[in-house]
Amino acid sequence: MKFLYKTDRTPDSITLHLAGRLDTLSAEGLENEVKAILNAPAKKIEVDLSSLSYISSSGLRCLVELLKGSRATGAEMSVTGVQRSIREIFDLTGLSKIFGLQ
Amino acid sequence: MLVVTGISILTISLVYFNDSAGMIIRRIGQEQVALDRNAELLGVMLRQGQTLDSVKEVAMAPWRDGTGDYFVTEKPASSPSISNDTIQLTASVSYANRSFTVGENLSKMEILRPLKQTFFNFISIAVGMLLAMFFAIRYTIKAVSGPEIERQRQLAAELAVAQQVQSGMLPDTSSDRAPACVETGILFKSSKEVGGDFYSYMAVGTKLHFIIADVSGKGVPAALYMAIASKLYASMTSDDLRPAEIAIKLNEALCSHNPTSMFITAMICRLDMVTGELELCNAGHSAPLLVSAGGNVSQVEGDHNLPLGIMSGYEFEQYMARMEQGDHILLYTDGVTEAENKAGEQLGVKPLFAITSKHANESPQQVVDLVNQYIRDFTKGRERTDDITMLDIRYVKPPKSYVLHIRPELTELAKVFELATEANIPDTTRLALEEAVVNIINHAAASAIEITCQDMGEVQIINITDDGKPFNPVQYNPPETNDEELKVGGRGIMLMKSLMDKITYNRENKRNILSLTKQDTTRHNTNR
Repeated sequence: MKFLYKTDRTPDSITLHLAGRLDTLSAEGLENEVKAILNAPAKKIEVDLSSLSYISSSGLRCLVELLKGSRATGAEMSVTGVQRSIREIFDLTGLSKIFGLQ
Repeated sequence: MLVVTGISILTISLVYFNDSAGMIIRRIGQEQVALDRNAELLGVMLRQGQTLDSVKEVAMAPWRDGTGDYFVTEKPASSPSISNDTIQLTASVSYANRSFTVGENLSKMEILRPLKQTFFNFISIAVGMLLAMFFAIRYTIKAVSGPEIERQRQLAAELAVAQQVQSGMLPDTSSDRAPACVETGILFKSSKEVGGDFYSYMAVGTKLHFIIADVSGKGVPAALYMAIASKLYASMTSDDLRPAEIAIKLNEALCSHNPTSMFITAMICRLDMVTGELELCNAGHSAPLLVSAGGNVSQVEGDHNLPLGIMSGYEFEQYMARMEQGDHILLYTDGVTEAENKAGEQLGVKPLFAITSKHANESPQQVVDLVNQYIRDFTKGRERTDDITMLDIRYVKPPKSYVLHIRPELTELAKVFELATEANIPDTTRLALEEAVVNIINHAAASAIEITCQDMGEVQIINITDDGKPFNPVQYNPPETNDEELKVGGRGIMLMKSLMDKITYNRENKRNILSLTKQDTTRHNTNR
């Protein structure tokens, strides 16, 4: 499945939905979306990974950029819907704790 | 309670084993043989009750010198000296090469000396621990089952555990599956509860390493030596050394701690499962049989070397053969060819030719079982005296191969993903592949990248070759940053290393060659 993303905004929150395969090629498009979100952040930023099936280090890099940016603007960022295979990658790279995964 | 018993027995058994090793030998009734070079004498210690005939048998054991000649016993001494429960006797021997020695220059009495402390090198400590384990089990059994247990029963229980420990060291066809490129068949039968033969097979990348070996002597001492040798062998195969290099290293390791002058005959092989090229190193062993799918059988002869553990510094030579798809190679110990019938005749190698030829299209296990059946019929009415071991390997087919050439540009990744889909590469391996390729594209300044994938069913091996700057990701540690938690880079290599079972890096001909290996049991033999 190709990579797809969608951003839902309410006055208080932003939800970024990621779906499919987030590899080095698809991460390029996501990078711009991350920049756009950080240019107009909300109090809460949620990243929904429930439909994400693959992530490489380039994809992780986007999420780390988003987390760094949110911290800088005082926004509260969370990651939800993490599947087992994706969770494994977070664990291996030591990112689970940073993203507050239980 | 169990722990206390375990620890105290550990101490007891180490002391016991160390100082009274001769006792163990006597209790087991294990033959020990020594050669006196000057007197041309063969010394043998036997348990009382064995007939003098068996001395002949010991001397007929596979003792060969560098020229392949057997040592031959002439008449055993007629007046053995008998003390306690052992018989000592000597028999004169003749051997072709006078300069050849087995171990040290032993006198016929020295065979009774206890093992020296030097025996306790780092490996044999581990073996000592195993011994301690089953002594502990034995004494624990004793503790719960009441007062005195008959000595014989203790010994039997002890050996039963030893047998389990020993078979646990050897690969078996159910749990240690060979890659889909080959099939294996095994027979492993000890004449005593534990034996001195061993075999092993292990795939390292696209190479299959296998060995069959026979430790001089039988029973517990031989089994201990076998345990040491098989562990040494396993550590050497994982480095994918040539068979001759394995022989040289094994020989040096065995020579450096060998106070009892034991030695090992071995056939050490490495099969390239891509090309069918077979490398063989023969350390005083019988040459294997190569059986074509059409039923042609030949003995794969080549350079003969000394057995392992005899002469330090010996240079082992190896030779080559080729296996075609469907060919079998049958390795065996001399317990097979020297099995005797009632009339004292040996089985020889001819029946092996006949059986393997007739059943060239059967599976390796069937071939081995048929030979075993033949041996059983042949030896009916006579007690088995030697360990019998066979390892048959059939080269089924080379791995499925995929090759891709790309330019070092990120857009080319699409082709890499296509290859991954075509080769049915699971996501974890695909991720490692992506990270490796992206790393080369971004940092290596290469002009071309080649990716090959060898699919062996459960095992996939991916080689990535580039002509860029030397870079060894295996040894790469990302530079430390102030913000360690939120660093942006360096995760790709970390991922690659943790996702793969094995990663190797080589620099050859100004090229970086990165090899990723992944074993995936869910892909069991998908390319069959």
